Amino acid sequence: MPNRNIIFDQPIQVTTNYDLPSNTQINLSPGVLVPFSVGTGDGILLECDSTGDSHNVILIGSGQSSSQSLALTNGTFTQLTNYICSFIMPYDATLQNIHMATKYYSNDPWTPSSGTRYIPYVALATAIDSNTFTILPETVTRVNSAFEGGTQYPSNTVVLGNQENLALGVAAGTKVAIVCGLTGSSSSSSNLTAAFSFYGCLWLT
Amino acid sequence: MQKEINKIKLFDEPVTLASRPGMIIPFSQGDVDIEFQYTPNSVILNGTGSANCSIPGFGTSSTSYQLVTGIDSITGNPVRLFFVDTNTNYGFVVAQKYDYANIYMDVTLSQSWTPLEGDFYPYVALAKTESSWNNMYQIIPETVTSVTFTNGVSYPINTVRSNSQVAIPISITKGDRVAVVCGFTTSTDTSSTLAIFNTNLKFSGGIALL
Repeated sequence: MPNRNIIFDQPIQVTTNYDLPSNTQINLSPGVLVPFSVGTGDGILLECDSTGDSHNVILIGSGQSSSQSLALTNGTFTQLTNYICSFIMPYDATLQNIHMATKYYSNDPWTPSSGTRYIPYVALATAIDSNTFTILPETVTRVNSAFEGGTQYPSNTVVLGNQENLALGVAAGTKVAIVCGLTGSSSSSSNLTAAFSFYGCLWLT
Repeated sequence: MQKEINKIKLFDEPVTLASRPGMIIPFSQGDVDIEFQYTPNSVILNGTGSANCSIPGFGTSSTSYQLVTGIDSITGNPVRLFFVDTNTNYGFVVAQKYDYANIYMDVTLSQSWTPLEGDFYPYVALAKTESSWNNMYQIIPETVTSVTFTNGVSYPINTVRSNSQVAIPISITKGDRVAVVCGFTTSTDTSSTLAIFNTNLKFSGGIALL
């Protein structure tokens, strides 16, 4: 790939207190952002079992989601051919940060049942020339504060989650899906089901 | 015009400037089916194919737009144009100047398919508006990136075909309106058998602008 031509509109001042070796790479771009949001008013219905295993995921686009849930099997799922909601990484990227936000889908207050914990997450999944994706475990970004049973959450309570400095390489040509899912626990050993809205941003360098 | 690369005289030895993109455009068609139309003596340049195109978003897609032929005001070469109405405009404005594009694309079959009307070449390309005051987009010819579905071959559902081009020289300036476009060309004139092609092609990919 050719180097970009660099034209400085204004004089720049650079201060170094040590000599950089030759062929040092200077990263001129601050990186790129990939914003994502599910964009549906009904929320995304997700499920996990009482041990916390996530049963399904939904793919997130920009103001869109795949709407139909995809079953998870050992961290893999197959994208439906009639709803393609992944993209292809167009350069050798390094995933640095994932920031996500989620809220219970309803605009009414929400009190999860006693003995339950709801921990929604966002993650990246990858595939090569296929629509069968595998979730990258290190990208699973859970909310910082779980929705706890017995607690009343006011309407529109937004909970955040983030991971920073992941430094995870994603090679050019890799198919990437942004997924959302649910983990959690239940004292009654029953599966948990709830609908959430998700949005957030990836920062890549 | 050849631009001069500024020298950075900070070091005795030359340094390597990393070529990282300023932005990327993720795109995927979602669940939108595009009804590609074919017309005899199509406006498609250098071959036959769909007389329309669509603009994918990220998890959705525009409706289709008719392609017409125009002349590039700078090069004098024929170019493909399409007019985007205001109903489903998935174009956007870029905020910086870019000199190169990387295009990665793939096509998934949502139904099994055996092309019997010649080879099919679904493509993705980058387009930009001709002027600041209208919605006529011009496909940038160098960015057309396609895959091949060969005549007579049976392709099962969920077949994925992919292709890419990197470091394509482009000239996109701050304020230009840009769109990703999808369509297809064919190896032979299919007009007698393929008036409307209700596509089972699902496009996705990513474009980096540098």
